[in-house]
Amino acid sequence: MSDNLQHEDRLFELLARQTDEAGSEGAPSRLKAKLYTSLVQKQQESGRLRTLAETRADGHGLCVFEDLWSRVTSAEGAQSFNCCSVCHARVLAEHWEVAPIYWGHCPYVAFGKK
Amino acid sequence: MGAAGNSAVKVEAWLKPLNRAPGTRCNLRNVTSYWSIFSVATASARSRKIGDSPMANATQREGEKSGKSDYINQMSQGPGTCQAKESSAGANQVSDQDLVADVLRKDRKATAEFVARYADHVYGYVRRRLIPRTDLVDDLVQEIFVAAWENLEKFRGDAPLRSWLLGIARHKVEDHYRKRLREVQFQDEEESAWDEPGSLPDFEGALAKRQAGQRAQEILKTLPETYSVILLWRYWEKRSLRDIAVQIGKTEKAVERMLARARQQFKKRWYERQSPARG
Repeated sequence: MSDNLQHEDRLFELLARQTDEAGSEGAPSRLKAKLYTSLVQKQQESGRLRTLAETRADGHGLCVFEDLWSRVTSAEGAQSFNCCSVCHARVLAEHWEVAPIYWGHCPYVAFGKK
Repeated sequence: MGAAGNSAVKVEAWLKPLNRAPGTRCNLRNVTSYWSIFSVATASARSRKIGDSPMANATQREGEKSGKSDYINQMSQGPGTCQAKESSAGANQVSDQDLVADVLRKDRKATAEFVARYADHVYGYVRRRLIPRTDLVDDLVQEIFVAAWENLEKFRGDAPLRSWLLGIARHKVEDHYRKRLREVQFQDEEESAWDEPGSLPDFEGALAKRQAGQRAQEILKTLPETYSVILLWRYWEKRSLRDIAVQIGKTEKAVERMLARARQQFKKRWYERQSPARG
């Protein structure tokens, strides 16, 4: 390889390093919402989700709907039900960058925070 | 039957599959209470006082009772608190190993934390590497997270979870490069003499200036996709000519020529952008 080409390679490598160091913007909250939805769907494909009772017992907060669902149901199957799949918060978060969701312990709320 | 009666029939129909699960005590009365509580919750949320909601208070108290550093509590205790928690996340974060264990247990809150913690890193990397095809970024990031879930059991914790995820991202990005370059007709047999691109006088000097990286990204966006891909693969991903040639089934010489053309185009545009500024 000629000296000229080696020199060019070095310049481009330097440029690549500078580009990577320049940083970049974070993921849109809509994408995070979609990622979460698809991951939970994938998890469900290979069996039940962890029950809401177990999640709560482990110290995690439940959103108002999950909390209610966990109180009105008792079977393990029902406790593993993914409330987000029928929740309007999911639909809003997947389509709006700043979705109007305000209640606590909702993952879609957290994704909207910059 | 009136409108209210129709709605009741619809709700009962919706509940039917849920009621099949043994022990699911879910009926119209429960749903009515559900909506009553929903009204209270949303009304209090509107006034941005989540803590005033009886249900939110109950949930909050339970979180406090456990005394555990809960990552979802950290993330979403309502507006105002979330940002502060995120900014101090470094101190309170659950370790990668614990997070992975909880995600593997299919804990939805851990899964949410997994996304919240790493989506920005993966997205940033993929977006920089897919210039100019930013329209493909979302799909590729989704593929990466699904692949991560499918292989999460293999995560041993030898490296940070972030690096492990970026490793998957790198494979996916290279798959994209491979696919794009395999589609291109390379001029292997071209016998005409190839003019070695000369160095433009201000290219080297401009690199030392601030914002050179940003400018490079802008130029990559305007180049033909093949040129951007080969430059990114060679210099940003630091792959050798031989590696690239093997992966796309071309000769090293053909790849070298293509790369030279890409460099020349890049520098030409770099120079064009520089010229008007000089007046």
